[in-house]
Amino acid sequence: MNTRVIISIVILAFGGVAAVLPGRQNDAILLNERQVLQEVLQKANYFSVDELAHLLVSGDPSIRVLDLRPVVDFKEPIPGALNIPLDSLFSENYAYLFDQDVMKNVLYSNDDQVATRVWMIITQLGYKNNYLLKGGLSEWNVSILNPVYPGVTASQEALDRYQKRLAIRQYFTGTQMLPPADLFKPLSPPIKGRKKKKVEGGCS
Amino acid sequence: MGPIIPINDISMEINFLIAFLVGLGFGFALEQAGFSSSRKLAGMFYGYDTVVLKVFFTAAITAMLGLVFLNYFELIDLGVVYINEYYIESAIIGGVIMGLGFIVGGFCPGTSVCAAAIGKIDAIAFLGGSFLGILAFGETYPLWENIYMKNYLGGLKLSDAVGISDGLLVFGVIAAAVLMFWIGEWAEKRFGRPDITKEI
Amino acid sequence: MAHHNYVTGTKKYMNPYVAGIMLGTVLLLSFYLTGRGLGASGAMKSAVVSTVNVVAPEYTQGSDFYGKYITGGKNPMNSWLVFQVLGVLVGGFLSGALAGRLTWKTEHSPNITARKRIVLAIIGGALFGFGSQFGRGCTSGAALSGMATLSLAGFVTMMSIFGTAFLFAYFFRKNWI
Repeated sequence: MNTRVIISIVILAFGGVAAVLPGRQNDAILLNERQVLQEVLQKANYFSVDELAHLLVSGDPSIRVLDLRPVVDFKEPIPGALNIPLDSLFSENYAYLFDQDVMKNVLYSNDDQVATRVWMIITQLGYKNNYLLKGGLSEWNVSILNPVYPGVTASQEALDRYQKRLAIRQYFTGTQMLPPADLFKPLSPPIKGRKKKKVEGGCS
Repeated sequence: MGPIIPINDISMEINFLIAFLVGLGFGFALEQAGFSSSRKLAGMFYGYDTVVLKVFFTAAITAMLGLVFLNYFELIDLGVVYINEYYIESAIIGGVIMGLGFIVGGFCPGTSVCAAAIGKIDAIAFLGGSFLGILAFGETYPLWENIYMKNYLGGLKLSDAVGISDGLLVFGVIAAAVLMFWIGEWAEKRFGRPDITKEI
Repeated sequence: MAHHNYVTGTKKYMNPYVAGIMLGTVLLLSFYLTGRGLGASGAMKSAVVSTVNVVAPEYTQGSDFYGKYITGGKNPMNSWLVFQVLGVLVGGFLSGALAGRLTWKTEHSPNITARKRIVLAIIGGALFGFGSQFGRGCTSGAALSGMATLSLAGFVTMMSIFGTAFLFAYFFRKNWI
């Protein structure tokens, strides 16, 4: 037998086995991508709506809020937010927003998804000082603008938070809403000065 | 689990050392196969020597089968392995120009390096020419940019495009190769040029 | 010639199928170790980009094509493929030395002069270099490695290269046979 016949038989045999193997090539990849995503997100720096509200009330000059919704949807944003629609995110007009290390950008859209994706892209591009607003605008609207009375039996912590939210809501909207009578005690004063609160994980 | 270097974050220096060793094997195999001779390579297109066909397909099939089996036994993560990105127009146009270069020049870049290493002057000329060609592309890039970037389909696999399993596609390639090997050896008899083959 | 071939012992070149398995094993090893296949034209591009960068740094920075290989002070010669091609050079030399094939020689058909062969090699090289940039890789990087990973790009590039060469073979037959 010459080499060609031998090699033909050998590769056909291997090929025959390969042909009946179940295709499983994508399992490992998907798992891997998910793992990467989780790892990246664990390192993500979040601001909760309460933290952001405090920083805004205290007038922290290093906070810049970026609203990622499309222009047509840019209504009733978080006060002071700058609207950067997704499609113009990487235009040169806005490059200065990310290519810097002075300001802290807090990104939000209606929910977490869009902002998270943008955060991942700009983080992978190497830009620092970008944060995510946990829960996005919907969380802001629910927790800050329409806080729900946690109930008399709630922990002191929850009650304190509720009071703060009421105060902040008043600060932003001017609406007065009397809290239930049994909660009538002095509100804790808004935080003064430039307090920069950091969430776990570190982005210097 | 492979690929070892990207998964384990191995240092640049070791990576380059491995690049050199892999290249060593590559060059050695090419030279042993006779790819350092332009007349042997060109024999492919006139039928008197089909070593290119045999080596090229045996190598591709060995690697294909290896990847399919390594993947099956979870020894390699094909998600990390680089899959060439597909741009329809540029792949075809580039291939046509390269094919023309092959029949005119008698080498391809890899084989020209290998042939230059053993002192083939035509290979050194080919190598010099390829620098000029790359420079020409770089200088005229704005003219081609549109077509170069057109119709991007990502790292698309033929098996996914056709909708069959990787293993089945490999079997198809093997069947085609076995047929081509047979035709190749027939052609070597039919179009044999002993006057050329004894020289190279 | 009385050279002794230390590799194959008797025959001039290795059996093509055995050489193919050897090449395929190297290719597979490359995938297993580094996640990428073999290549050649990429290293030549690195050399071209570095040369242009030395001659006209500002022009290189501004160019859409060269610029992407030198962003952030990157040295294009510090690339995987450059080291791999240096390996090809040494590997080819070792094989040639072991097989007794080290000679300065211009290989050409008796129909044409050595000078014509050199001119054709330069033209062919230029076409191949140009095409390899257009097609994002040459026979090794796009066709061979691309086919091994079953990428559509690999199959299309392979067919395109060999198909064209077969198509034009008739017109260039005087140069070869």
